[in-house]
Amino acid sequence: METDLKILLIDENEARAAILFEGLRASGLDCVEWLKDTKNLSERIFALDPDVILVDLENPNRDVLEQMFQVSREVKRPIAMFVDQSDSQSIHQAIEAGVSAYIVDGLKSERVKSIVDMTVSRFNAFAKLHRELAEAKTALQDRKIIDKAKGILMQQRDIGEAEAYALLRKAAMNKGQKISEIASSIVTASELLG
Amino acid sequence: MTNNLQTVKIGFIPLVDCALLAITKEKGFGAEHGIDLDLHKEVSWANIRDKVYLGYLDGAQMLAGMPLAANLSLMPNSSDIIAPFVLGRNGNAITVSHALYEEMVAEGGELLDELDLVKTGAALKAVIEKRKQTGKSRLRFAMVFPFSCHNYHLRYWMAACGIDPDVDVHLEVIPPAFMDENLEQGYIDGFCVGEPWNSLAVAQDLGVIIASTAQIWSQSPEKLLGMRKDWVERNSALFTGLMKALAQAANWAAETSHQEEIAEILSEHQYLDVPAEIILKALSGNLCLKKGNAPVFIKDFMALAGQGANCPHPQEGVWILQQMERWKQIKPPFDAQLALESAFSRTLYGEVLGLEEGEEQGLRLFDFA
Repeated sequence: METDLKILLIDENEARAAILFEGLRASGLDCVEWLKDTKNLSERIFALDPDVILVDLENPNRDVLEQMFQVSREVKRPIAMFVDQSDSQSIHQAIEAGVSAYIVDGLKSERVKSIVDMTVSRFNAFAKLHRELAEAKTALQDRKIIDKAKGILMQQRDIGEAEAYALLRKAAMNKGQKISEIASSIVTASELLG
Repeated sequence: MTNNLQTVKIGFIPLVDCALLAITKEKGFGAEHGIDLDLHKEVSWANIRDKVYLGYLDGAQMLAGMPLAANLSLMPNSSDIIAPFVLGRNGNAITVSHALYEEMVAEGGELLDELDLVKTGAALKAVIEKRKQTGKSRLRFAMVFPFSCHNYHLRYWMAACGIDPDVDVHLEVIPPAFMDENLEQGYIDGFCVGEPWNSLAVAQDLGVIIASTAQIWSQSPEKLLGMRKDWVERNSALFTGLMKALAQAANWAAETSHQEEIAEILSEHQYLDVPAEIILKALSGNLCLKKGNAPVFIKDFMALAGQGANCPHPQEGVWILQQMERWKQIKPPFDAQLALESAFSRTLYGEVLGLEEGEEQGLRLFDFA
């Protein structure tokens, strides 16, 4: 059991890198390095000499890695791969999660697979968190705009809150729009018309 | 709108020479041939290769060396690629930092008036020699991918001027979008990249364009449409439709009066997301070499269409293979014939679109003899 596997993670996203870093550590992989930016990438990789490089699939610097492993004769040459080329489900999951890996030839595929699987699941967890945060933000903004629109209706028509909300809902149903969209037009109109 | 249309997934990199793909989609040439052209903007050539290999894309805009490299398995994740259509010829330029430009002028006098490759190369060599004597570090140049014409042209020109690109300079890959930043920060001294990145560097006053690759070889293929071989075999009718749609787009693009509209299309966020006037420079061949200078016309700067530009020729592939061998990307023996039949598939182009009878272009490289 070789535990001295050296892993390099290249990710501009600090929060996501931290989540993955912690996961790799927890599974007993202590030799993990993280590069946030790719300045002097080749020098830094030569110095580190990693066995596995994990890169965000949408990082343009993958082309820099291609060159390094294409021409370099002086280091072990990791090659771009998606874990086990015959395992189409794993590949699909990696692509969907946005994970690409460069792996030194001859590394046992089950070891690599567990590392890449971990990366995929952490990347996905991060994306979910990110989505939820964005949704929470939108929900909060929607909430605010609906409250504002209700206030306008209550004032203009001299009605109660429940009635104002019912009006919004009815308009939304009639127009096939979201309540927040109707609310937003009411607020805009009221701002324009003073 | 998309009723009864069949989807073809094509990857592209936001560069001026993705124009024919954008035109095919935006001007409805694809739809005329029953194709819903589903274009995917990618961030790296590695992504293009991998997504084609994994079947996420049916094909892509590829650097002229990529289909050859794929068919000869010179890269990981290589699949058999058929490249029957040239999407663009040349359109790359060499840009250097102001500091290096000043050093070159000090050695070789005014360089931008004639834009003479021999003179510019001699000035660069003199700068390199002087730097060696004064113990300064090697100049750093960047290009975009190992199997790119940027790499081969830069090396060819340097070597022809007595500069060994593997010894006298440091040559590395930097993605196009980061070239400007690296030049500004002094991390590199120059780069060879496609448009709009040279013109953008000039517009921001970060560097000076000292050469266009069209001067090295006026007909050099730069981008090919590379399709998965198994996709072409399974979808012959769709493939024929795609070729015809691209040929129509090329005919449309060949009209000089359409240049502004092409620039407008490409300036959209789903393509280059760069001001149309910058894109127009490459399309018209009127480039501003240095901020504040009047634009100059560079002959053959970039060809998207016209005069048989879209028809690949195996001889062009032979030149690229020679460069691969020369710079040790490949060792003999290799099956050049097999690679060429697919990677510069003149036969397939002819079967679908017909070959124009004309004088053989041959290779007209700038010559020091």
